[in-house]
Amino acid sequence: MVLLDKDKQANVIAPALFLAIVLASAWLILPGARTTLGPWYDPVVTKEEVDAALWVDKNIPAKSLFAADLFACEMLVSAGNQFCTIGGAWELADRANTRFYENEQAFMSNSSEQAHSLFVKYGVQYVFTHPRTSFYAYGWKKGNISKFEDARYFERIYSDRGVEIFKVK
Amino acid sequence: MMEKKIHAIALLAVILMSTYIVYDGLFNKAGYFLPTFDNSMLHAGRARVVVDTGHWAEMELVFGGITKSYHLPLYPDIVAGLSALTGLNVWWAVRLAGLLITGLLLPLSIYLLAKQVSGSWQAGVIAALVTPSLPSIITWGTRTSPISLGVVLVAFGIYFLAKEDYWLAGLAGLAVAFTHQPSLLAFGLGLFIFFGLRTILQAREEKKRDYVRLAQSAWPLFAVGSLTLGVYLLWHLRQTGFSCLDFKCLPHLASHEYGTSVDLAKYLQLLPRVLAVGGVALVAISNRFKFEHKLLLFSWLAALLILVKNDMLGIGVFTERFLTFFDEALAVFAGLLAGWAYALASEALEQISGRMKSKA
Repeated sequence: MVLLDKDKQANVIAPALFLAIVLASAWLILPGARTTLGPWYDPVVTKEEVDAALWVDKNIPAKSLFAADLFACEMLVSAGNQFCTIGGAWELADRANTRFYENEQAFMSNSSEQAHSLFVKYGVQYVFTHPRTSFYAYGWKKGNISKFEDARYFERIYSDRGVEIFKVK
Repeated sequence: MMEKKIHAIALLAVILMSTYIVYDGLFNKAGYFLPTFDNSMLHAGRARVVVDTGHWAEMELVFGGITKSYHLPLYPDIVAGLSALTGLNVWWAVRLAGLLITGLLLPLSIYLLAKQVSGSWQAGVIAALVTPSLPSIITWGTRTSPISLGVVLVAFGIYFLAKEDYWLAGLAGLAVAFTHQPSLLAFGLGLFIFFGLRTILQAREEKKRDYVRLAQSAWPLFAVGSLTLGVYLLWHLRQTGFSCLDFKCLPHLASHEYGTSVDLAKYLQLLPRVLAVGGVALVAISNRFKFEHKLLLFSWLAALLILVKNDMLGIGVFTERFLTFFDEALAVFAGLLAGWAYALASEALEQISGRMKSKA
């Protein structure tokens, strides 16, 4: 019969067992944490949009005013060094709900004239569009973006892999 | 000696796990082109303003860029500082900040707090280990935005209070006040309840009515609280003037943002949260913990319960987001239960070993 030495038991065996439990638990926790974080870390915006924002950073004066969906707006202020119409930070925003509503109206409307007048109202200089489902203010929607091709009100200044940027006339 | 090595290996393993989780999120998911997502991009934008101009982004970057920002300056300043120190661009600085704050400092702060109140390194390691398995802290608490720094500062703040290191607790409070408003509430309300309860209990015990001694004992906590709250109120006044002293100018209140009622009984049913319930019971009945530490832990827990259930007070704002801080406390309590179980098992093993030896 092998006897456990009391000191050895206290100093080695119990902590070693503890370490084994910690490592096994970490092994079990890791996949769950990754699964939980997966959708959370999803940037929503696409690589093509980021490339367009990097183009904006180089080619459009800093802190111009863009209109876009919420996720593209937030990306444009960092990657493109611009201001945008809407965003998640609405603490001290001027009439945030009206701005949200009219931003969505401008993208969802069939009328290029209505969109143009809404953009002019807020001093929007550029419109940033992409083919993915968007979040303009209230829920996920497909914007009516073909109207921005109306050359009376908008001028296309960038087009690459589905992402387009229009200058508001 | 061997136990020290095992202690170090266990802690390192937990920190590596936490770092890997953040790395995976930043580099494999979001970070293949940007380390940001959702409104963490806004905070990267603010950091970029600091990097580009050397000044804090005084104006909001969205909603036309025409209104003052209500966001606090410490997180973007840290990102900009890391960028300046390392020469990395703002995107790599955001990644580095995420790895340091959530990969390293989050498990370290939880470990230190649980170890401090229990005296057991095993409790500290288990508390840090279970942290990434708690859903709110792993989502909200790991964003590349001020909340991740706030979560860490709250844990450090409570740790320094438990250690009775009021200078560092004050520094943590000051940092929270310049980082993130919900984090400030998670720390400040706990501190306020702790201060009130401790002072009342000490006053009841003070039979000689020595109020000078009572004041001497109470003032460090009062100073930490005053510094934290005072600095924040100055910031609030600077950004909003005197028109928003009741905070009603903030749209979160009016729209009850993230304010749905949280079913805590349901929330606490799953592992490892159910272990935390055992930890709460243990701390309440066990004499292994110092009374001051019990009071601090329960004050903090009470504050977090009030914040998570603020809909019951008719407020209904950020209830879900306060679960992030509630999860922090749950991790600590789960660690305390595990530390106690380890001590119990270790003692039992020792007894069995002793009996076998004496029989032989």
